[in-house]
Amino acid sequence: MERVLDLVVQSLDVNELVQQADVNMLLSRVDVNAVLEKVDLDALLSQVDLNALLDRVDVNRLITRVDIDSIAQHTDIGAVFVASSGNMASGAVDIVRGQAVAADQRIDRWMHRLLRRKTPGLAGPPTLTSAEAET
Amino acid sequence: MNRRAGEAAWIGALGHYAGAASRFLAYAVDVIISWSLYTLGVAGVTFVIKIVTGRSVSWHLTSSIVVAVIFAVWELAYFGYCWAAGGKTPGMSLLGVRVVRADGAEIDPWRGVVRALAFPLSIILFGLGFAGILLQREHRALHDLIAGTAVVYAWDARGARLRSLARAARRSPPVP
Repeated sequence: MERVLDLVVQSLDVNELVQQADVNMLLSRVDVNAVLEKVDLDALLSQVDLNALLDRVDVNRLITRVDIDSIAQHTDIGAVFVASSGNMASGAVDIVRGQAVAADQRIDRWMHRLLRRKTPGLAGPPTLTSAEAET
Repeated sequence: MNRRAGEAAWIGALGHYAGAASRFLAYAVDVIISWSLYTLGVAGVTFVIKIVTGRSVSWHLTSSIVVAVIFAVWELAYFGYCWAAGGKTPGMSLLGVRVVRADGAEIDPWRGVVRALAFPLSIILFGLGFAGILLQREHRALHDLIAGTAVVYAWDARGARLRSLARAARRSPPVP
């Protein structure tokens, strides 16, 4: 009898059988809620090592994908930014500073061209620029 | 260079050597402030002298060597005190730059005083002492080299940009 069963199983084309099965119909008959009710989520979660999971997440890469500009524009956090030090005077000061830095960089580029410098120098004192790079 | 790329260039400038335009503007603001304070002080003293003695005194810089010395001492005190106390003058605060030690550490008070004492040298040498701001990679003038200091950006441009974006969004809220 066992021999006969082996022969029958060997002659079956499982792939063909699966192709003929109506998976959608099968799934529609499954009571997902009933299945979920039987799952003990607490037990499942207690087995998950969150630290190991977080270790595998590259937070720095994740943060670079966050559009902070958009957050500032479209959420209440923007109001916090404005309230933190914000009035129209500080806005004007920011504009003046930005223009001055842009002028500095333009003058720098001209001087580099004039003096035919090939390599850029240090951007700033080592302790300050390395601290900035770390953040 | 488009606007966004331009902004990106100065947003990351915190801690970098400050350039000629920022430093010149900061100095111009300081000259205006120190002159204004000097004029106010002189006006006050003149008023008191006139009340007490009934004489009017001329404080014009060319009127006597004493007045010129008083003015020089006042300028030295203004810049020296500001650099020694916090590494920045009011003009520097406005432009978002500050004086640090050449290695980037906080400035020692004595360096601030030395910088103020050496500052006239940069002017006396036909302004050549300032050439380093343009020609040197570290933008250090003669008085910076003597005092072992450098001027860097101390302005949080990133925060400023976020504030300006938030402010713009509040002025024109998105149409639903």
